[in-house]
Amino acid sequence: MTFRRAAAGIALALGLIVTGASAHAAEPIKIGFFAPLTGNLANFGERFRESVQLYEEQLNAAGGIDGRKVEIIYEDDRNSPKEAASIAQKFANTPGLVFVVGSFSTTASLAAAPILTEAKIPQVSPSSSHPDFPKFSPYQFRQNTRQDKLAPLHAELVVDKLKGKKIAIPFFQDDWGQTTANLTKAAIEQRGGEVVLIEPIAPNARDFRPLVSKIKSLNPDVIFLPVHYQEASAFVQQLRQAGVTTPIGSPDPLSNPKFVELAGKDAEGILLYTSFFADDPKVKPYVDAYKAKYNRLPDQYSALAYDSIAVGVNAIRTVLQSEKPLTGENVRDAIATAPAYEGLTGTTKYDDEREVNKKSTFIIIKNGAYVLY
Amino acid sequence: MELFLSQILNGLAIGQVYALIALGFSLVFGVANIINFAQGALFMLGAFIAYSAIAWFGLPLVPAAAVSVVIVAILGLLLERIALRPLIGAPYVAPFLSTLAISTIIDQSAEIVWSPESQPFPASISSTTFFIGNAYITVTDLVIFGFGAAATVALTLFVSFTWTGRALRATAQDASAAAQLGIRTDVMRQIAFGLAGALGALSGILVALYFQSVFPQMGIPFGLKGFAAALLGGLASIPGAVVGGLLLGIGETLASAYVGDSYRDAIAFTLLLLMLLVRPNGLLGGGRLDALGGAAAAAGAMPTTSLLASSSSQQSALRAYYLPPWGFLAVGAAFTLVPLVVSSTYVLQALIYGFIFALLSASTSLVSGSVGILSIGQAAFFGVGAYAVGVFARPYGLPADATLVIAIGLTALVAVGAAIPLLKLTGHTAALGTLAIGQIGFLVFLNWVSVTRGPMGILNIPHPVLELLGGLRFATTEQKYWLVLGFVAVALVIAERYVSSPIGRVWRAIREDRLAALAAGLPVRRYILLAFAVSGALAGLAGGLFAYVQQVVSPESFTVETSILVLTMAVLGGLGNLTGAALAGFALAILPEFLRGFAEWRMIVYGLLLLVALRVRPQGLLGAR
Amino acid sequence: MTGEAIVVDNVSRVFGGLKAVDGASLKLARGETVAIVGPNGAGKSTLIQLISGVERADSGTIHVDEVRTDHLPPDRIARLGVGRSFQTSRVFPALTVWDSVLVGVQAGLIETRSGRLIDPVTESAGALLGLPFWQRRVAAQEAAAEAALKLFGDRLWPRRDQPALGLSYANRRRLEIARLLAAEPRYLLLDEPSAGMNPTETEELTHLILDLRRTHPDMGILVIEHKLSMVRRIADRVVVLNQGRVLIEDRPDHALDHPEVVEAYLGRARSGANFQDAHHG
Repeated sequence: MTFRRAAAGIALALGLIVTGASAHAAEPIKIGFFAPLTGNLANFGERFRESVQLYEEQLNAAGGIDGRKVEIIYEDDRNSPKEAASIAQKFANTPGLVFVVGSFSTTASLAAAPILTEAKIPQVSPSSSHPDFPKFSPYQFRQNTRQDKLAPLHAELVVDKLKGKKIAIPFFQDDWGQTTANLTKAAIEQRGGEVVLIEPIAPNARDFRPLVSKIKSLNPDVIFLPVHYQEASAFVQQLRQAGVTTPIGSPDPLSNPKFVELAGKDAEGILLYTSFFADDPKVKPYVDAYKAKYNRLPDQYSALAYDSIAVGVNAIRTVLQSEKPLTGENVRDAIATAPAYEGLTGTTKYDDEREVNKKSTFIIIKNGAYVLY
Repeated sequence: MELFLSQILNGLAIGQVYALIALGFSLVFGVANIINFAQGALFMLGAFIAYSAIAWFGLPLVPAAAVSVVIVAILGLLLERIALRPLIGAPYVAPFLSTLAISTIIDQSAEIVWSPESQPFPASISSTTFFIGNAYITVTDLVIFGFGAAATVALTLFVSFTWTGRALRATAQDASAAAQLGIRTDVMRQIAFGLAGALGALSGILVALYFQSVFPQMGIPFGLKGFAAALLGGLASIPGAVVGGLLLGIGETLASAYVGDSYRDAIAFTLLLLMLLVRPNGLLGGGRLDALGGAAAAAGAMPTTSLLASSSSQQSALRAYYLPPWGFLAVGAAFTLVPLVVSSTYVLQALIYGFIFALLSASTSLVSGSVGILSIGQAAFFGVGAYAVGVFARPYGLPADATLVIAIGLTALVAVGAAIPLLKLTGHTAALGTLAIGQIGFLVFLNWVSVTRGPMGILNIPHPVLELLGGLRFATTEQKYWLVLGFVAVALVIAERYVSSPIGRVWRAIREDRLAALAAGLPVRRYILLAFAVSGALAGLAGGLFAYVQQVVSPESFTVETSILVLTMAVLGGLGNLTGAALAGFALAILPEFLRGFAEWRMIVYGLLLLVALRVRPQGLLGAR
Repeated sequence: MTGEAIVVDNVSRVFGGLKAVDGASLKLARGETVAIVGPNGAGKSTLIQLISGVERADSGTIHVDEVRTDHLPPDRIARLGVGRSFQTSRVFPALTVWDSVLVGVQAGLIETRSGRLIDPVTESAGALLGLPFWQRRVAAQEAAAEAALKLFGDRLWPRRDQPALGLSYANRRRLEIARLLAAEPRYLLLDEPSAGMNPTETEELTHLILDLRRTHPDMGILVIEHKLSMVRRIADRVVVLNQGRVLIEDRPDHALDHPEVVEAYLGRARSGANFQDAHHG
């Protein structure tokens, strides 16, 4: 009795999976997209999705790729490796899916990587920053520049531009924040600067007063802030409230209009760099389209996602035009060997390690807006 | 010294915020004996409703705050009415999970209504800061102090001197006696929830003013601190909540100042556990905890976490359906055939996660159900197992048989160590203790960079190789499917043997009446530790297998959300019923795959399903055992 | 020192300023039955709490068979052979009658002859693998459990698969006593075993205790009891407790008819009071 009930339940569950999974191929070219669309990092994932959806509409309105429509499958990984792996399996089992964009964090991207690699589907992550990410297999690419290539830029910003000798680095406790902080520290020391504080802050932390008091007592000349904008805005507010006027330099994630909105006047004077500058006339059509559709300005993450999907679509077009069969393997080769592509965030030209090296522009926050430095 | 004093001041400022949140918990816990997990969600709603009133309708701060307090108080009433009233008489975990489901629904709805972004709070009190040397205090701090003190005093006066307040206290002390005196205890419960909602909203608004921003995910971190503060002070005590909040604030500020900011929460929760070791009732532990067995009264009143103690439908609650130990092998054997029929690796992957979570859920059911110590920290044990494999499989290149044995043994040890502070605790206090353990686990994974590689995680974990089977390698999804299935089936057989053995009987006796078990000459502590060891071993194995399947181990997999999910599985399956737990774990692990179509509504649907399931079968799908 | 007995010597326990037990001394030898009587709040239950280790004495000593027990945890004291019931009977609500009694014999299952406990690993191995040595122990304990249940005739044995919660009030009390007896204690401490029983059931209980005295001639029995007619029939000695102190200790007829006792018990002396069942709830 007990056994039969349980067995019936399991059989039922199984039946549902089997039927649920049998999606099948249709005409359009399929592309997978996954990012955290709910949960803690949903604000970043939403930026990705908005841009990719905009691209999809623009592309299909213009007739798709050589007349073939593109269908993008959107999935939410909640920044959970388990979800990311399931999604990757779903993509791997979707016939005709030859390219994947995702995810936001390296952890989620890498959880999908083994499965996508086995299925020979190339993956472009807009923002995975772990140094080892593209090393996983020839199928992993990214759109952001590797941290060790950015570290000298950070040192230049802190030591040369802001004239810092004693530098404090509160950093965000994730793979990006940790790598950035450590590499930047090394680069600063190479230039003769001294790092007097390097300390992680926890995701979703809001109370920085203990840290602020500590920084205040150390009295650095410059604060370098590799922290995402939500936490960073609370940090700078509490810093300025404590009467600390030390200049602040930061890497690109703070080039986000939301940061200025959140931090208000306390964001004034922060010096940073970005690979995407919304006031650049070259990106105006994109910025206008984005604003028209979503009623807000795009940020660097939106732009990186837009470039990610563009790189994939270009490669698919190359494969189709070369009249090779449209397989993930061929798309991968096309991405790896594609000529330099001028995107919103600079030039994409993959080197042998499947890395890009994009040019950055220094900007500063003045009167509540980003202006060229 | 000056730095130290300024840090104390900082601690008091954030501590006051925690105290306000803790007050809401204490009130509901005192009156309704329910841990209201949705308090964090009400807190977040309070902040967002005030935000909307100002930003969308242009109200000034004070009326906006008033509107928000009233609306959230009404929501508090509704919460009691919809999610808790129908569960009176259900096993004591049902209302607890019900508030959790509500919290999931509210949090996700807020992301949809207000977007997942942070929003600047459109009002502020004053940006004036007073400096005392290097220390400083802001006008906002003083306002929060003022409100916190006023709320505490008002609440104390209310419960001491008004008729309603006295009725509330009477209900808190003994609901049935209060009912005999003509107090409408159901109304009292509603009042408590309404007040808790109002307090939650008030603290939400003050926090929004303090940090000048609101974000939909703010409920969980602040809610956790609120629990910790309430527990530290003594769950049902009003002054205790305040003292607990302030102490927590100071403690973690000092930890941040002198150890490092990333250790602040880990230290805060460790201090909490240590404190529970010394003073299980909390610093100002109130009467309710005494009644719950703090200082055993003359009649030997000790708490019971009996499955049935408050159950009105005793007979039906007792009917449990479960497999005999060999049944798990039979089901496992049937499942081995699946890859021969189904070729989709997507389906197989989903099933693999189903198996792993079946095991994890069973491990939770064992401590939470059989022994009656609700575990809201199982993800920590899961994580220890996963990291053990991650650490030993990669650099040392050990085969899977060795790493899995290490994972099992190490996790069992960690679980026993973690259980020691819990030995004196029962009921809800023990549950909150496990919550702290779960948080500490996650924070250690995140911050112990030299071993766990912190947020970078451990990557490229090699495919498992079983040396004992002549170096058999499991590389493809099908092969891993069989590997996981085999281990899970055998582990479940062992677990079920435990639960059906005399040892399992003693566990249930301890759950039903710990004092009577002691009086029967049973070494209760030893049996509880044994239960944690077994549960830890199972969770460690689940974690080890997870690491091999995933090939990546990183802290995100082991958050409090995972612990809660796993507990949900165990409860829905029927506490103490391993068959039910395994079935629910399996089903809930693959359910999200079916809900993918709902996109951002997914978690809301999930929460609703949970609510319905609790309502229909509060004793679990297959019955508690 | 005193041979095989429970010896309570000058023990006190204070609850928040109230002296629940105030320098009480008492001896319960094996083979005798002692009843404790006294008004509510006299400290009768507290005394049992102290002997069984559930409460700690503030001063004084307690020995069980010459082992000092006033600092031992309750489970250790129980394993010395002290079985106790509770004023509000404590059964394991969700466990069946059969399982409840088996819990009573579990301590004997894991205890070796030398009084040590079998370690958890051996216990796990025994329980999981069903090793022969273990099965023999289990069989012996199950026999004891069955015998204990059958002491109550058809009250419990036919209901052995029912959950304890579903039992009548009297049956729960019986189950609690059966659980204690299954462990074959040297001393049985019963805290108001007849509370809530009707006259017929009380009569049955009286017979049970009288039977126990016959079948277990080595067992010491300590009973807290308000029903004095019952006390007169079962007890060898009566200890009258008032305000935490031992007022009188004597043969039942002497003790119960003592004027001081009558006064203490009823609040004031009533000449010629027919002292039957002074049961007051």
